[in-house]
Amino acid sequence: MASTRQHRRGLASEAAISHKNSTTSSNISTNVADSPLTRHVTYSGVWHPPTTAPTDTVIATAYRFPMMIPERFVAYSASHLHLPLRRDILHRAIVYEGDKTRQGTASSKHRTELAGSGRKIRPQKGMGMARLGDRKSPMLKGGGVAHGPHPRDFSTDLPRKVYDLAWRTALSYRFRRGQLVLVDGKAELWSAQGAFVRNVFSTNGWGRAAGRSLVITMEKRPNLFSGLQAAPRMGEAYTWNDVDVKDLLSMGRLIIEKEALDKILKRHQSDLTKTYKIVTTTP
Amino acid sequence: MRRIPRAACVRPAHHLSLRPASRSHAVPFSSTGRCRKDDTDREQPAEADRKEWPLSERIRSRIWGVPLGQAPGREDPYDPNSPMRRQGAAEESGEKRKWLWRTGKKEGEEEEVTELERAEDVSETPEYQEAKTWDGLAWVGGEAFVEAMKPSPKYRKYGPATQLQETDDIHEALHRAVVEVLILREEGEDLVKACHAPITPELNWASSVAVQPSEDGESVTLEYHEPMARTYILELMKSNNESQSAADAEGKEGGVEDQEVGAEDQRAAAEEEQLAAENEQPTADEEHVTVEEEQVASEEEQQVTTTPGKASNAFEGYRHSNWMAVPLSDMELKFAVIKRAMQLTGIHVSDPAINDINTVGNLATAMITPPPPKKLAQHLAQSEELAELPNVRVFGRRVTPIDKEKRIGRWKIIEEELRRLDLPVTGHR
Repeated sequence: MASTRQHRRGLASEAAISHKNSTTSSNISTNVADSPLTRHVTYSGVWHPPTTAPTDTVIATAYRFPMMIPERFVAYSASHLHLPLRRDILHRAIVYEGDKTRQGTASSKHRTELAGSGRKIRPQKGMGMARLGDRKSPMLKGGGVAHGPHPRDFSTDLPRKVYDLAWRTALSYRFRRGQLVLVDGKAELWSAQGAFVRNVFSTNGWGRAAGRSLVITMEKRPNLFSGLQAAPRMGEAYTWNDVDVKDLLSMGRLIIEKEALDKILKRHQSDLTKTYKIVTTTP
Repeated sequence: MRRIPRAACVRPAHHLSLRPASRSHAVPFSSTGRCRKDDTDREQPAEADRKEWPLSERIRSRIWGVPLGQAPGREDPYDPNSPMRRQGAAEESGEKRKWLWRTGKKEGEEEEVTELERAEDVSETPEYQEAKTWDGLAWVGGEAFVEAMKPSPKYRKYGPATQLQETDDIHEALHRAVVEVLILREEGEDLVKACHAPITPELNWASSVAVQPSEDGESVTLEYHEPMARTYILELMKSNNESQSAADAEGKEGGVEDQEVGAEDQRAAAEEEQLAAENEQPTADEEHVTVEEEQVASEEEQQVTTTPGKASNAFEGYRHSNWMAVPLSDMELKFAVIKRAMQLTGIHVSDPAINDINTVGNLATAMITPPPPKKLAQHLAQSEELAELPNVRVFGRRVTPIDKEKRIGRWKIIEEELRRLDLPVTGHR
């Protein structure tokens, strides 16, 4: 259960390392726990771990969009953005989502649901023809459907912890491949023109040739959203609560606002939070 | 009801064909004046004469039932002398269509309006009449029209217009980033101020500085082979400091609201101002220069003011010492160096690569290493092991039987024979 241990570690241990903050020595703390309810390590002041760099955090660069100017480093827990790839868990999550989103409204009428008389069409015997009941018989034209579809719920179950792990596994997969672009602030464009969006995306190598891009924002960004509708070959944009695991894996890369990523991670860490209790450090 | 036979009510074709040649060239179709009685007294040309005409013309004359050369409608469009085949005719007609679309004119109005437009003052021409109603006038406007007419704002990525490709150039840029950031650290300044300096290679004073890390990696020594280099580097950052931040602020504000001028335009304009200001800056801030350096500075002054950069560098710092061993374990230093290096080279370093970077050498490797090939064939073609094997060759696509035949020079004959037998050259019948 090495991997599970790793997941439990470093829960909620995200520390923002800002070049602006670091000089003003605002306390940036990283809480690391080797086992549940035990050790806490706090770095305060300037984030300076040259001797023992923690292996349970990873550094992500936050960029200013769309110029892609690096703004700062942000540290995320390895259990958030550096999980090993688990295809089986991703598969289960995608099947779960697929089942859940099935409409399930196909409907047909059984003979009992049809309007009509139950009178026997012809006598049972003596006509030299096949036996028949009423007009609603499934073997007659205009009759009912014997085993037809009826509205139902196709959704299947998946343990919450597995689903949450799948979310973070999908994000980790993107991060490990360098396909997670973190945006500092708002991922908004200056113009909603399709030509401009195409220019931005193709200049950065985010367009169709590179598998398109999924932009995830906190709120609807008018120019970005309508711009990508004008240039659908470049990618798609959604707010953070409109995406699922399949979306995270479906395109060439994720361009995600930091705030949106934090929201997603916070919502999908039940397997971490349930097994570990955060204890506030006392001096 | 009495029925009239169909043949009786239609004029026979030979009646129609006996019209005189009243026009010598093809005419536009008109349904009037075609079948008059006096038109019918004309002799058919002799059969030998008919043969001189092209087949299409003969058929057309038959179809219309008129003498040769009298068929209405267009001339043969496939004739080499046809105006439709004349080079540029298609473009002309396309241009004309565009013009008609733009002006909203109909086909017939074109000539008249063009003349009107040529007149210097339209209102003075005798034909000019002021429109009282909007009938017949071009419509301009609407949301779609406005959207289409808007100029698209410019966009430029962070860094130079083109990525650096040569290893030497990347090393030089990286060395420059390291020197600038280390100088700022010595000064106790914010390290990302290094990015306020311009990116032009001519202003690379850092190349005259040798970076020497200690054995344990704890400290780094900077050796200046150009006495004024440090001052100039700091000046360049300071001179850009204010205008850069102003440009950034403008970019943020104007970004969403001002659609016509992108933030990058403003930034570019600010950069130009900076470059202009750089010519004066080194002389303006001489208070910071120490007394010993002033003597050197006075000699250099002239050069700096006239050429806003590059010293006569015999020394190239990036070729000396083991500056690549400078550790990047300090996150602040690492961020500043990577940001400046990305700005100078235009090469993006991905997050997983950044996590693996511990020294400047790692960063150089990450920047120089090209992205992995996208196709398996490209990957295999790079393999030295496979290249050495005598019996292995790598192809970009599947080797087909045609490729094999081509290689031994038999394909031409096969193709010729297939054509002769009227068989499909590729594929199936």
